[in-house]
Amino acid sequence: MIYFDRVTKTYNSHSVALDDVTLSIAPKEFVSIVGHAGAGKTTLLKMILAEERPTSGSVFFESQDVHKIPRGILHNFRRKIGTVFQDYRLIPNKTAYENIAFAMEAAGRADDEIAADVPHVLELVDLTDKAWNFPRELSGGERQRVSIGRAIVNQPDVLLADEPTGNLDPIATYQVVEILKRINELGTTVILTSHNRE
Amino acid sequence: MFWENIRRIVRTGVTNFLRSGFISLTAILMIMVPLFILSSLLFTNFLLEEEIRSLQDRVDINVYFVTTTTEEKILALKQQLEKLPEIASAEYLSAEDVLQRFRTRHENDQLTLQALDELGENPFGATLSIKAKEVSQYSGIADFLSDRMTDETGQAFIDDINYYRNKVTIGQLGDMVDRTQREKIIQTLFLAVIALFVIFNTIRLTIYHSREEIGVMRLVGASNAYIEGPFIVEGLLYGSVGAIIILILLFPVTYWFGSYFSVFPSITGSVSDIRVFEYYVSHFLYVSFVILGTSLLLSGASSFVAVRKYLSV
Repeated sequence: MIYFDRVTKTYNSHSVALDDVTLSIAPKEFVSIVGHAGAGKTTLLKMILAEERPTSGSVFFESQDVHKIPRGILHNFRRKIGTVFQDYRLIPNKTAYENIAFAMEAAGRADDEIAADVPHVLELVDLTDKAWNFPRELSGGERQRVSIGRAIVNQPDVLLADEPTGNLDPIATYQVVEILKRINELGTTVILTSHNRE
Repeated sequence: MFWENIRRIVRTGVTNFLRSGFISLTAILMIMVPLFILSSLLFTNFLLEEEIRSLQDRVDINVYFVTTTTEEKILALKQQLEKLPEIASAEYLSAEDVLQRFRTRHENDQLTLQALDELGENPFGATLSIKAKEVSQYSGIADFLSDRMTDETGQAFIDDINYYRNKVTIGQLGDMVDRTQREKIIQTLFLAVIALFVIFNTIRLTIYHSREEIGVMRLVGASNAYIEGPFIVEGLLYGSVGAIIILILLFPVTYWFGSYFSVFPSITGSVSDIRVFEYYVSHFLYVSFVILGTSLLLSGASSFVAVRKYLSV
């Protein structure tokens, strides 16, 4: 499903983020990428999203070289991938419900679909009672669950989770990992990065 | 789907505008400054045109004919003059009209009137009072008339043309009108650049505040148009609300301060006949169109340009 063919990324002569990486990820896999800070985990995920270009090598998604997708239609490709960031990256002036609904609106989904799916996703991430709270009114764990809700609401083929538990306490970490496992069981490929081997 | 997207873009833009209370308020106040300058410019230009027109109205050439000239000859000259493109009007006053005016003007001066009666005949000749369309054209008209000081038989026809007595003053006035109009163009361009700069940077700052949000929207799969749309709606709202507040504020401002404005107070003296408030009321649609149109155009275009900068994710 995802294939890295001898990918190297150097920011400058002293900073090599990825060095000749070749890997393949099959559909419905749960892949954990573990490494210390600065090991290139985030760069690897950014390559899949076409947010960064490799210095050499290619990244394929379902046999398509993601860096050859024209910029004008890149958003269509990104709708196949859900992304969860360590710093949540929620839209501050939208409520939890609106943050999740935004991903559906951006994908051109109809209002009745949004009205049906968003409450379901909020239930899945256990945030039904916080639907109308803004991100500033939520705890770190709750924000991360909103971020997961937004990432999965369009039923993506792949979920990229970039250190999703990096800023969370042990209980919130446990909840987030459980949700990711459940999503994987439902058939979504999950790629998780972490600096914590446990 | 197109209209569905438009509806969502407008709804999101309006919601963002309302939720970003302090930023929206600051942006509106910032946009109001160049709009106020622009409206002052509109009123200054109006006053300038009014005062130039008033000054030009005071300038004319009077042609005094010898007393023996017949009315037919003068009217023939008047017809010739009226065919010239430079002539705004030519008014004929017969010798009797001139005498009557003289008597009216000196009705309290018995000595002068007695002296006039002593003469036993009308000492005045007929006159033509000529107005040109532009101050600069008087010289050409005077030259045209000076070629006709005698008629075709060589007899005296025109006694005097008062242009040559007032030539220096008329020339200075023409130069001043030209210089003022040139300055008006430079001033307008200068203020237009300032307005563009202030509005663009205000909008850019509001969008800079949302730059990370734009990146996230790109990463969750929103198209450029879907991201840009709400920011443009927000920009248009800043522009329209700012313009509407200015249009409302201009009523009391022009009412209270309008009569104190004057471009050439030392020349025209009192300008109480020029009412800025009345001008504003009678030209409300025109002023609204200029202020609102400029504001919407600049804020919409600024939003479009500013948001593009952050869409490269």
